[in-house]
Amino acid sequence: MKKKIVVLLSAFLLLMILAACQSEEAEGDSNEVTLELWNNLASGSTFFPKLIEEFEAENPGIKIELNNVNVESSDAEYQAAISDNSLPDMFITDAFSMNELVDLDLVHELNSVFPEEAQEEYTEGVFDEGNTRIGDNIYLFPIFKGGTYMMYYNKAVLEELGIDTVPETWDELLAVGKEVYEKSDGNTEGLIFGGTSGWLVDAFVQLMATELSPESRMDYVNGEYSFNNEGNVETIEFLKKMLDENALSRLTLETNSTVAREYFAVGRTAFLIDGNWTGQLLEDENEFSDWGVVQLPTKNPDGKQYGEFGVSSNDGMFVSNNTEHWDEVEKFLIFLRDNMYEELVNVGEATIAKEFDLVDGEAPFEQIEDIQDIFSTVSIQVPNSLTVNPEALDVQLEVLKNGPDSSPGEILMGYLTGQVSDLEGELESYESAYNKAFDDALEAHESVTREDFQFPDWVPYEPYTEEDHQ
Amino acid sequence: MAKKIKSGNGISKYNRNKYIWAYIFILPQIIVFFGFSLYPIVMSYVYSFYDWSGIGPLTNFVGLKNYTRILTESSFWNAFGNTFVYTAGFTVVSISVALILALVLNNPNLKGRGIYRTVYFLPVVTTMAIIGIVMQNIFGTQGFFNEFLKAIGLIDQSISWLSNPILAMILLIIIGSWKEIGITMIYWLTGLQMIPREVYEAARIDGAGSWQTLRYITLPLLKPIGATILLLTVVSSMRVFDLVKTLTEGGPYFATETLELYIYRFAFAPDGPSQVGFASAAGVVLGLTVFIISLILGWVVYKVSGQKRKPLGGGIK
Repeated sequence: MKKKIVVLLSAFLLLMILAACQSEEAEGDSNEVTLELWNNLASGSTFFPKLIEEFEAENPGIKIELNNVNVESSDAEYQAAISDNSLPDMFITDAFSMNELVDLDLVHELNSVFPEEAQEEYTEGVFDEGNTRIGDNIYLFPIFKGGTYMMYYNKAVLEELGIDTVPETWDELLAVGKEVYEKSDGNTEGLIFGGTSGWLVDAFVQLMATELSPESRMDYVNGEYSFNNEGNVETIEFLKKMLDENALSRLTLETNSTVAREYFAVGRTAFLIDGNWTGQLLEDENEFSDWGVVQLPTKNPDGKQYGEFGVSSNDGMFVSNNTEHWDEVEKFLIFLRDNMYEELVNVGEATIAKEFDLVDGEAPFEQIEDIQDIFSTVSIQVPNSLTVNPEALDVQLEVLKNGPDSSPGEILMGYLTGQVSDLEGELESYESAYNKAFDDALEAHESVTREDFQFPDWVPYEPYTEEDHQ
Repeated sequence: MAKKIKSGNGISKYNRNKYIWAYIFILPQIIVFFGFSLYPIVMSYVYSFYDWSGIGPLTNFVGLKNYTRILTESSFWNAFGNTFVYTAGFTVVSISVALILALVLNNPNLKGRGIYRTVYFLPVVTTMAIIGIVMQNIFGTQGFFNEFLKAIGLIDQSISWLSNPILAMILLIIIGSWKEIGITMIYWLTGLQMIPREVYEAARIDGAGSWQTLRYITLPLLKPIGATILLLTVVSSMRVFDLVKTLTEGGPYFATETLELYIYRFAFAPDGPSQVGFASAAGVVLGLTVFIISLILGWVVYKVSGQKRKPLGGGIK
């Protein structure tokens, strides 16, 4: 009797499971196609829903399922999706480089979405080798054209303290920073940046260092890495002086870029160093509009800085090679190509991949033009060894993997907290270890030589274009 | 017993059915064990011999290269050292404070001891990551603690608790210990309640005071469970991750980076490409270190537990 009951119960459960599966299938419209999109852009959660709604209205048979992935955990999510062969139809990630994804045959080429005439509407360099293209194929749908770093100032704070100088040089920044601290009895401080956000510190220190040492990081003339140079040493020592003289907030030592932005927005500091996307975040997330933006201060009044123009995997969107609905994906991408950039400008994104002047969007704040100008001045094309020899990428990746486990930005933070006392010694050992990793990588890859990294005709602060490469 | 199960050709039909059902019931557990415990452990050993980014096939076998690199990386040894500093501090603070609390709360005359036990146990059931974030706000330069110290006139200038390498590690140890003291206290209380009441009565009749009772009866009889607590505390503290990730992010300048955070950094949050093979090798080294320490402490537990039976019997006589 008991056996019968067990058998009957099991059969009943099985039937229930089958029925559930069946009803789930029956629920969906057999003609409707659902495309999955994983987004990890902060502003994507604002502009994608609007674009998707418009697209779905125009294309009733296609549904787009948007999944805003948490940036912090996205690496693990993508690793799992790739292992499980379940990448979404479209995705945005910084977990893997375009080359890695192409090497593993995981992404679909997008040539039909970007014919020659469409490419002409984009900023020069966006479709260069290594940016969105490998060989003859485009693999990355360009949304942004990279980024750069700048200094934001809180107009309300400066006005309240009666300061009408926006610093352009290091001396001015130090003087104004001290003035802010003194006039406010220490309640407001001069400068802040997200010191625990390693990527930020690294990037802006590099940018500031190029004024005094244009060969900082990569010496394109000699084809070797340079870190122990005047630019890095002087920049780091200047920031230390700022801290010691109360012109740089001590909060910098323990805050990340998000918290630093919050301190700036509430008037705890007068200046903030952050990326070009910060303007949009100040407006949207901090609901703060009384700000201005200038280029990072230079040591000399006529000083120049430059940052490498480059589109990284996180600046665009990939399509999975396993998508079962390429036709629908292509339709959606063409829709995005024609409508997305306007929407990006509408939400306040300044560094869109398309030429800014060709887009009709209405920016929610006027400072977007200043951001756009700073980006155009600072971000320039530099020599690209991948154009000379695509296999140079293997060497670059190997150097990144086997290079020293620190960075000039980390060394700056160690110097500020007093954990690094011999600054030049630390930079020197970092540079030696980096160049050793470079030498080892060159030795391991016979098809790549140091000459692939040498560009004797490179002129600092001048764009190095496709023609120069030829 | 075995003869009773077998009958005739072997196992009786009734017993065979019982065995079959038993295996059916443990089958899910076996599948889970092999799939989610054994397989990842074995694969982490396999990955450690490859240069692998976490995606794609395992093609680039590098032998012991990841291990030799680990041994020469100063950042690995820094994380290794930090892990031991944290473990030592955490073990000393959490075990000793939990013992003191357990001794106090074991007093049957203490009013409201159930409430106290609950209060001390509360942090245990709170998420570690949340505690890290809350504590970051409390101990930040602009945090509540600095403001409080200023208000009572103890300091003029805020103390950089999180950006001073020594203070940050001390803070990590104190907060980690505070979080786990509740559970360690429960272990000690279990040990205390296992000591027979008669032993204390005999001691009192012999004229022993409170200190002598503690020194010659309570503490010696707590040794076996103390050794077990030591083992559990050391092993769990060597794998600290979430508190460090949320409170200090391993900073300032790697001063509080522990091995788990080091592994995470290379596997999931590197500056360059993910290095799951290298991170797995670091994970294997951590696993082996924990295993060796467990063996040593397990031996201590065995020795102490073995000794316990002899003196207790002799002592009562």
